Amino acid sequence: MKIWEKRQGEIVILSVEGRLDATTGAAFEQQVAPMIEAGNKNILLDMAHLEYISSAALRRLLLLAKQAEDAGGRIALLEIQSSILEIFEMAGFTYLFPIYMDQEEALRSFVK
Amino acid sequence: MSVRKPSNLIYGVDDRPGPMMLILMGFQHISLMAIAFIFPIIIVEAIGGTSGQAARLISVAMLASGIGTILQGLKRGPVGSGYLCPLLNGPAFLTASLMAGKAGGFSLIFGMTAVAGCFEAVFSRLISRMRSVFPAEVTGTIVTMVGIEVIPIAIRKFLGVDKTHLVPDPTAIAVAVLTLGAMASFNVWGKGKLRLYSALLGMIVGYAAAAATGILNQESFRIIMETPMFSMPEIVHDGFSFQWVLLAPFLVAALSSALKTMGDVTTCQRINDADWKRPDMVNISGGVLACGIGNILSGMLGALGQSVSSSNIGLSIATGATSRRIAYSAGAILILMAFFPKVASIFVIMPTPIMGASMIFAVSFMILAGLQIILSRMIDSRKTFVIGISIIMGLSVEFVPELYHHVHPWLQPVFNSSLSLATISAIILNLFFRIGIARQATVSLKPGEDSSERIGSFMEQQGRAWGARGEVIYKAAAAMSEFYEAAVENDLTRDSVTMTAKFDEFNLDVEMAYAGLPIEFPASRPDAADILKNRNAALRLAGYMVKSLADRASVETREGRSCIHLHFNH
Repeated sequence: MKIWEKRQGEIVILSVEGRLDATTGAAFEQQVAPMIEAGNKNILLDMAHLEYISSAALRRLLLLAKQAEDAGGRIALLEIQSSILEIFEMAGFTYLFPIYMDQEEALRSFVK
Repeated sequence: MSVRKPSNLIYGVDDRPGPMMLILMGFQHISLMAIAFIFPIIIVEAIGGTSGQAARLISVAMLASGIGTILQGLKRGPVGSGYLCPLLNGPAFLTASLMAGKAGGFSLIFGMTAVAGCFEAVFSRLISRMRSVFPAEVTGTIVTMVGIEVIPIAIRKFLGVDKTHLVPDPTAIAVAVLTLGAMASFNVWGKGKLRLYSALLGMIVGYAAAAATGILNQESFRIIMETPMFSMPEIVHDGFSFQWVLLAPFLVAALSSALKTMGDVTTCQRINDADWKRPDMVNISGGVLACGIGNILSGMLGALGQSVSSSNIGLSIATGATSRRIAYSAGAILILMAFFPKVASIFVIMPTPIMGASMIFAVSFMILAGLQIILSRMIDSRKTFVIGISIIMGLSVEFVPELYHHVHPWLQPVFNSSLSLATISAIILNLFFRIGIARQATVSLKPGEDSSERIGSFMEQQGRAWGARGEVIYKAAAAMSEFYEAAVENDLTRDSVTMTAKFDEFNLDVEMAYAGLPIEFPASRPDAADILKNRNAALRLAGYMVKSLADRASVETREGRSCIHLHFNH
């Protein structure tokens, strides 16, 4: 798994590439949780290049979303591939995260 | 079995367009089929026949093609594929018919054509047992080559090259470009009926341009005027004869025709079913039987051998109209045209550049249909060789035809046709490269040492070797990874987990065996609050995901060992 970070104002855009499973999910949480603690509470996760996500990684994502929400922010998802979206739907996670296909629209949603 | 109509079709195979639409779309298909009227003329000229004999052959060809097209469209019973898949006197029998014509005249052509039709009919009964010989990469290669084979004829006609114009003619090219441009414009930017009739409208534009530029001249109009309005087709002919020496070339021609039909019917299946997964061999068998009966009929009536017209399938994709009722309409109009030669003459005088533009328009869709069939499955190096080498062998017939001039005359039909050579090559290479592909594979993972990523690589590799559908392999790998991670995280086992995947064309079954506790497959998933608070909820979510990803999931436990069975429909 690889993560690229860029900023758009107060929003952190994280592009995730590869697999998010039990092992890489833990590493992902270890990288993102301190960012939220440091005040970066609005995060846009670009999943265009994510190949696989397991339920163990989904749980990590849920923990991070809770942490961001408690800090007054949120985590939104961008460009989920159909195979990944199917896993989100199976797990019932599409109701827990706002999902966008357009980056501009996703960024505007943080301003509202 | 009902199928889901793809969104790009205006009239799907079971739809019922209105009567006027059926007539117009029938004529649209006939305008493309009319290009094949050139083949009877080639035969007659080669064996020194008269123009009267050529006219008779064309008239009987219309009758035989019309009946064959209707037979092919039949949905019930053993005969017919139920698709709009018109038959015509195509190039498949050209070489064999030329040999027969020179050796024994028309009676020998008709006799041998009827025998070839009998062979094709018998061959059709064996097809349903030959699934493994025709996997997606082989049928996709055949369909692609069906389109590619038409290119040399299409491009010559597009550039205005024929027996009286030996070099490209700028005026003809202008008419061809205008015709193709009109067809493509109506197809791309036209809505509804404009797209439905894009080929016919393009041809009308082409005829107008040909008349304005003098390509369609007084002589063309004279032919139409002098042709009688009504005339009975002459089905009484010189009789039948048979020569053993010609059996091989006619059987090879029949085989080529049958293989082409297989590719064409496969394309029809794919373009009419949004959820298409694999060729339906029983349906293909009916299609080849219709073609075989069409050839017996051609021989009896005194016409040349028939095969499916790939260009017309391309046309039906382009226009978004694949209703089998268009096949009945086109067939009926063809039969009527055999009695009304004046109507037929409008198509017979079709200027060469319009023919070329029409063929290029239709063939573009046919080639893409073949590539889509190939890419519907995962490809490994074995399949790359089957596809790549076969296409190279096929194209060699077009690029360096002189290399095959010295092949034994019996084998000429194979080496004269890029489609035939590519098809034979794909079938042989597919059978050869099946050596060493195990239908079952096992991987063993040790908790704490191996990550679930290894499962992804293992299934990817096996999926390519099996030529499986990518989405099924993805789901299986996801379910296996999900289970393995849950087993490790929740200490269901500390021992190795042995995963065995078994594959055939319809099923993918996975067994995961280990010493330890079984996983639960709950009926409902835990909610978010539960997942956050309760560690056991994460295990239940994993069990729910494994069960949901598979089409069937079960678990058995015996003497401290557990075994998970997952089934995936393929």
